[in-house]
Amino acid sequence: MADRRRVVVSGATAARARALPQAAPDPGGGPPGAEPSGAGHDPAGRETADTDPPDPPCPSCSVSFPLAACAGEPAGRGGDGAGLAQARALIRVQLRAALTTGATVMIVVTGLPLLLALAPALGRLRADGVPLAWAVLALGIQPVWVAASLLHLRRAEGAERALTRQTSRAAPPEHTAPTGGTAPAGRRGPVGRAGPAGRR
Amino acid sequence: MTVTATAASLSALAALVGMTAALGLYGRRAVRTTSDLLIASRGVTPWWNASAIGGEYISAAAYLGTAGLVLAYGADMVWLPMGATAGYVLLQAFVTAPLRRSGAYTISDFAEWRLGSRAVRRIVTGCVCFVGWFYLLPQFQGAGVTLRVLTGAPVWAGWALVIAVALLVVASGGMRSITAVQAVQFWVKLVAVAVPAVALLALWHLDGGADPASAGAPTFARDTRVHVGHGLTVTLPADTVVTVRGPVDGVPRAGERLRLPAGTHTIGPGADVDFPPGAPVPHAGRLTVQDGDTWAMPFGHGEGLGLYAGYSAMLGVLLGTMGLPHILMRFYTNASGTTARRTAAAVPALLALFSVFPVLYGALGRLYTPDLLLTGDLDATVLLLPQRMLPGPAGALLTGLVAAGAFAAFISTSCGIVVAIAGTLSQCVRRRGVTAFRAGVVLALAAPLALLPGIGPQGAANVVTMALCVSACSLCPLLVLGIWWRGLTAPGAGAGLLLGGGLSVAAGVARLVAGPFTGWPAVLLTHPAMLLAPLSFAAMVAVSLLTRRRVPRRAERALARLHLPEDITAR
Repeated sequence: MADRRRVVVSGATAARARALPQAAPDPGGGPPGAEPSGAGHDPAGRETADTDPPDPPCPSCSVSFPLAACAGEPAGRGGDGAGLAQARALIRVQLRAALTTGATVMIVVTGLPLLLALAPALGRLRADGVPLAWAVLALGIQPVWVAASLLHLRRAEGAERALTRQTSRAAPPEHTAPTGGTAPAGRRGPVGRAGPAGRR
Repeated sequence: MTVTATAASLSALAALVGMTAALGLYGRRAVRTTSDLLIASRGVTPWWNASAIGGEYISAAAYLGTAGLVLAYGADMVWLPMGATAGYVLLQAFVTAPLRRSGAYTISDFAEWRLGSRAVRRIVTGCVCFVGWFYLLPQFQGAGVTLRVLTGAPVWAGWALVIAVALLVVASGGMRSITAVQAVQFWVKLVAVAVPAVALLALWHLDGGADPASAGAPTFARDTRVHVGHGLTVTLPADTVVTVRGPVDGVPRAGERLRLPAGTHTIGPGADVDFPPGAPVPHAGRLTVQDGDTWAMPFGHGEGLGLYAGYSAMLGVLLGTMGLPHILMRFYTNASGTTARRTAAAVPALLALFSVFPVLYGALGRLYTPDLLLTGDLDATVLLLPQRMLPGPAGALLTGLVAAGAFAAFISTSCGIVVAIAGTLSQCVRRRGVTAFRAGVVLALAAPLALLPGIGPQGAANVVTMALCVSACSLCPLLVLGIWWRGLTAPGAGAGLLLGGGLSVAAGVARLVAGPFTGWPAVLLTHPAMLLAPLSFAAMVAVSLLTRRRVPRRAERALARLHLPEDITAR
């Protein structure tokens, strides 16, 4: 596993170096600015490298996003093409989810004023003295946004989990990935004293 | 403002500054490396970070501005808080997780990494600076107005206070300490706005529950003395008999009764006008007199223009929220794309909790503080209401609470923007580090301060809408296309940024410096998002298609990295 990983990393880093010559001082996958100290490894990484699952130790990479350069190679199976194909499929699914959410928001946002413009009588309706339009705008719409946001969260995480399951079946890793997404529960850097992260 | 109210608000202010300094110092003790300073070492949990984002987003505009706009313009403005919350839904759907996975600290980093172009990076940095500066202006102005209304201090005292606290917090503790400051301040603001609102609502009910939208034009409910400091041009909706001490229409008066015919008048400088109960409220020059029905009706006036302005403002807020540099930077403090997305999903719930209250204050303001329509100090609505409805110590206490929340709003937003601008600028120079960051902080604060004395009185929410519009027309298209479309090229992104960002900045500056405009030019300059945002998207796509050969070779891999979850990329 480790061998394979290292091979992939160096290959991908080389590819990056070719494409992005000005980013040369940046030794790993991170964008130029992800390394505020500018000297070698991200100091944040030194602190958190062994605590944050998404940032596993990897000597040849900047820790802020260590193996991202090998993102085209999920689980290292089937070579580059298959990995990129998987990524493309995931992007399609996620884009569809994002567009659905975006369309919902846009329909509500454009629909309501149009409704009021076309049928002004609706704007004068009152429920118990409170203008209905005000009640809907101030109280009624916000829960819709909260629901849309949570729904999208579920859909997006579901798509990612499905892909994780699929790849872990293809290549059973030594450490099983947590099924609840990648939330790095409990183990944190110095600030994150608050309990299990991300489990709401 | 009574002495007790002044004392209460000053002690609340002192407590708030003390708390901020304590949290900041605590952060300073914990700061060990530059990365601590910039990103809090990426160890902030979703709820804590979502609170911090809420704290950062609820600025002078949301806290003071919205209530004032509702008081003056009515139902049209109830859309704005709703649009802001919806913007976070879009942000979560389109931007957060991929942006976090890119590992980019600022939008400039993202642009350079994604497109491999230093030129695009510089353009993005420029856009970030303008968005941040436009966003800082109303924070300073709001602080000036708040301190003037509460204590009678000159406006620059408020500016100085906010700048001093921001400098202290940011330069000492950086992102680590402001995460704590902002997360705590979100809850401070929520309590500060909610508790008085509930009390005032109960009072209003006991008072007979007069309908803000029932009458014609707003009237004074009781004998009201209005002090007009600087000269004003006002529109009087009906003939009124008033008692005046000071110049009116250029003639100095010494406390005599005077019959003012309906129409335009000039009052002041330095005039005291006594209005009898039931007198119609004169409106400051830029405000139109609305009867109750028009006020309560969304888009009840100026049909075509109103609908365009409404949609355009809404689009600006929606898309602009996606590109706010200080908000996007916050997600970098999350450990992974997944936690970043969860953070973003929690934000709409927090904002929904908050956003009901300013609307409430605005509606009550039409009953109890209509004189603000005359002086034009609309941002003072929230601050004045408790004293007006509940004279005495209880009212003073509530005023203190509200004032603490207001200063929490200025401080947390200012700190967030200053960190965003300074972080972006300091990443551009060769020698990165704490010194560059601190130089960036000074530059971030100095630029709006230089502009501040030159611009006239502007509603906080209006200027923030301008900042959102710049972001909607430049940074939002860059992020959305950069994250979802592998065909984006550096020339395409540059063209879109220059066109959309340049024109929206030009519109904003023209509004600030050259205004006021009327008719279509005014609407186009105030709300250009409807035209410019699609234009910017179109320019990016069209130029990218024309320069198809310059699609970065690693675009495919970059996109895979943005979207694949970390547990796959890390295995």
